[in-house]
Amino acid sequence: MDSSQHIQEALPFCYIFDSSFDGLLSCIAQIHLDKRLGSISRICAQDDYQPSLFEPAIKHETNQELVTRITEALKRKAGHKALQSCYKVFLSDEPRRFLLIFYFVSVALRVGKQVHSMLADKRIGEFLDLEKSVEAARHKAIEFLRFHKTSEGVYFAQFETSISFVPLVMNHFVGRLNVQAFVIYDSKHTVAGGYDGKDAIIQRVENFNPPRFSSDDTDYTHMWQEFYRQITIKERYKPKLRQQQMPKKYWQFLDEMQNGTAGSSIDR
Amino acid sequence: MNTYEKLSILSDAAKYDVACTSSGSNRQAVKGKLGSTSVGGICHSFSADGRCISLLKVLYSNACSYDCEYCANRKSAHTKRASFTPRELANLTIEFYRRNFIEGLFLSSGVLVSPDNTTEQIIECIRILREEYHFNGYIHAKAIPGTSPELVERLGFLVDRMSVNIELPSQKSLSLLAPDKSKQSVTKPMSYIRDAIDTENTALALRAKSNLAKRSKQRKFVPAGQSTQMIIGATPENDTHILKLSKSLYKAYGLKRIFFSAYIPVNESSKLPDKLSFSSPLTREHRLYQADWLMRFYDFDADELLPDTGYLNLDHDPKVVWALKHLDDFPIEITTAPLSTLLRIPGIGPRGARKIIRARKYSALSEESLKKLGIVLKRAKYFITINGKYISPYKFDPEIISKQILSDSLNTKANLKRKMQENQLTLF
Repeated sequence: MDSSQHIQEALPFCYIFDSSFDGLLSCIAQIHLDKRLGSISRICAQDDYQPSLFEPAIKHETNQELVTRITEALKRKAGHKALQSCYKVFLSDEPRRFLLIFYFVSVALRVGKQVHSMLADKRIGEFLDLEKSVEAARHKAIEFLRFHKTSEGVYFAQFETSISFVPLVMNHFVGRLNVQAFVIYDSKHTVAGGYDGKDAIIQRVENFNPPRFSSDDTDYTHMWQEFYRQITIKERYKPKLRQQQMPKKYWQFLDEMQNGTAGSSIDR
Repeated sequence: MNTYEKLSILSDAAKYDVACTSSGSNRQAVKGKLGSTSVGGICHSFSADGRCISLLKVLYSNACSYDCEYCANRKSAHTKRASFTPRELANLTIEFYRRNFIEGLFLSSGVLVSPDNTTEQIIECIRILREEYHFNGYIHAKAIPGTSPELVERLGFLVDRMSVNIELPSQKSLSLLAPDKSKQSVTKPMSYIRDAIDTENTALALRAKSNLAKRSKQRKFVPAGQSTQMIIGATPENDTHILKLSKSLYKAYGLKRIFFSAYIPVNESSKLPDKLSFSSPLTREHRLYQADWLMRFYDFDADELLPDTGYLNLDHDPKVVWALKHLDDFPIEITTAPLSTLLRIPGIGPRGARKIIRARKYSALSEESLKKLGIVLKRAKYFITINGKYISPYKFDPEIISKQILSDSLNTKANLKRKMQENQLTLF
């Protein structure tokens, strides 16, 4: 089962791909062609590659034909879900994610759909856990990101969580907000998703300028904060439970967790 | 009065309402319409009391013409009064929704002049949302007891969920504390909603049979079903009474949920428990919810859970109490027991039970493999055998098990905290 038994070479290789998901798939296909399944030490995205001594690096140019071939093979063998799983894990911040995807794809191509229940395999287990945590982080973004109306009438949200969440939430918000143009900005990964009421795009954004908000927007923020204060049953104050449900790292993005308008504390 | 001040008064007035779920309805996004609903519901925030905030929960008006003793908005209470206008509230809902603050609206109200007048205003607000603003998100509306059937019907086609509060667990308490409401004024709209849902389901089934248009364009009647809520501890009804009532409510009206609300004193009244010395029965409320859960998801019948003393045991959850009473049926062999039996094991839920069944098809179960599946044996270990082996180090004896479970749960950090908080509460 362990692919490290296949071929052993003197030095393990590092493959470098162009940082895109297609690039990673193409690179994984190349590793299969090169028959180096058992001698990979790292797979690195070009954007954050740091060379290491004694580690031969192979720079892989994305080959669209390889992408198609491996995607089709994966879908045929292990279903569309396997590809989706890979994409989700790709968006996590786990440093070992590319290697785990490589391993998952290799096993999936061999055993098929069964790969999703191979929890006993240490690396597949790690991959599946990671997928689960990505799903959880995506849900946090859907729950907790907040839009504000800019002076141009576009709704803008800035949010951060442990994954590059924008590609995973665009469908949800496009469907839901529908007639409303919006921009979602992931300040941690400097990725923005935009929707103009018709089409959606996702882009890397360097040098981001925060937008100006419309004057009535603050009124609604204040109303929301007031609603939040009033809805609490003071006799049942349970700040620990709240913090468990709504971890502190998200508070900076939540209007209701900022100090009140008259300088009062959030819980008054 | 501006909208901010109204919101402040009318959300404060709505906070004791328990239900704030946005679940049970799954409506895909529609081109040109704002909003969608998700079947599992989405929480957008959590209030300082740890409750999920999913919907904009407000009263339409707290200028109530009824005088219910337990209610903060009773006619004779000295409190600030406010009422929204239909458009004002519809606007507010839309603006909150656009900002991803909420999943939709949860609208209740005091009785503004009369039940029909109140419902007409509520309908107008929701009509503006649905028809003018093309709002496609979640709406839960209260049917005010005493509302005429025509209005209940119109409301039913605009909302996802409707509920009628039975408020108190018996007619006697109702006439004592809520003289303007009667059991009949509550059950009438409830049966009306039930019948309308039934009629629609039958029509849908017929249409599916005859292979006509599979999906109707028309909005469904109360697609997420109806629920109700009652106050616990303000009146003398015991848990046996409440569980029996719940069972008959689920059966008679096909309710999706019953919410319990531990009474919190807001008014001084000779007909109510003394305001100063009363401590809100939070643990009792918790146990009632557990019993309710066992009836809905574990296939328990209310009769199996009825306590001899009239009240649910506060130390143990109702499932443990049941298991200790039926220790002859235990320990249960986990490698062979069918689903219905696995569900009876304290500490194992529907999810765990299904995981066990799936896993044992592929490989032999052991204590280790159960742990790997994420099954917590802390409580279950007293009630099971794995391959014939009883894994708890203690004797299989009801008293010993009871004591052991008690000390297990006392020693958890959360429980120590809770005990401390409960002590603090009684100080006030």
